[in-house]
Amino acid sequence: MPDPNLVPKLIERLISLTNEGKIEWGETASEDDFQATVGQYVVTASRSRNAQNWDAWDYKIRVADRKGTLVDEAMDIDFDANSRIAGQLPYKAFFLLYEGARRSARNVDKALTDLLASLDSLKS
Amino acid sequence: MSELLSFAKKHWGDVASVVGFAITIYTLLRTKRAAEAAREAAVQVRDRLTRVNTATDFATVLAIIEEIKRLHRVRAWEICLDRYAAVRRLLVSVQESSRNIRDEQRGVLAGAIEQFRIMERSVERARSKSAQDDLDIARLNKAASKILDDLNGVMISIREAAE
Repeated sequence: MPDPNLVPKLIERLISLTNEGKIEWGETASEDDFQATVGQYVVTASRSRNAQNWDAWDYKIRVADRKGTLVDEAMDIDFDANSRIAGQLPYKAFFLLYEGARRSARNVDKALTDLLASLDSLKS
Repeated sequence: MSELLSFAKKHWGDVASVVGFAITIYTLLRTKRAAEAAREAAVQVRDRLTRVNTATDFATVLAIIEEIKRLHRVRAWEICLDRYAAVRRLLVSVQESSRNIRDEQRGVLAGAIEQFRIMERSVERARSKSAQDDLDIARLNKAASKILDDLNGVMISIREAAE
């Protein structure tokens, strides 16, 4: 019997460790996929256009073993819309994970810090 | 002196037995040591051969990735799909045959396997929508080049260990 709490717990832990900068996400061949190797597994955070509403995104997490075999995957729509993951609605939790992965892979925080420093130097 | 001779005459069989037993033990120990040395040498040869085979597989992987980059440029998507699968199979084979590669190196291989899965999915999706022209060749080749660099690093370490 699969434990339904494992995926939410995994997402919560990934969000937290990503925000602490302890997980190194990387870019992939797809603009909408980011991946990180954690222990024996490869985690991919991705988004895709919603089939019904092209303006909306669906968020997904995929866990594969080191041979590339799918271990588990989950989408925000797999969860009860009113449930909570990491204290957030599922859609928001998946979004936060995806955004964290994107910011980590693209070094967004460093880029913005550098930009702010450059702006400060222009001011003085 | 006569007592000694008398003892030797009476007990020469016992003395011979003790000496023979000692020689047998000595021979057994030497044989055991030789067998252990031979086994150790065989293990070393096997490990070295495995590393050489792994390095050969790696060279094949790198060659296929270079080919994939060329295929991207000429938009030969059907052949690309075959090559993605081939390179993933080879990377899995390298992982399975290499007992001596480090954990972080295994992580690089696993990441590469996933990257080729993502490439395969991107191309398959575009094909299903007849939107191959929308595929971002620069992005695909940027990812392929990054994989090449990472795998090259792992291959150099394996080659150095094999030498």
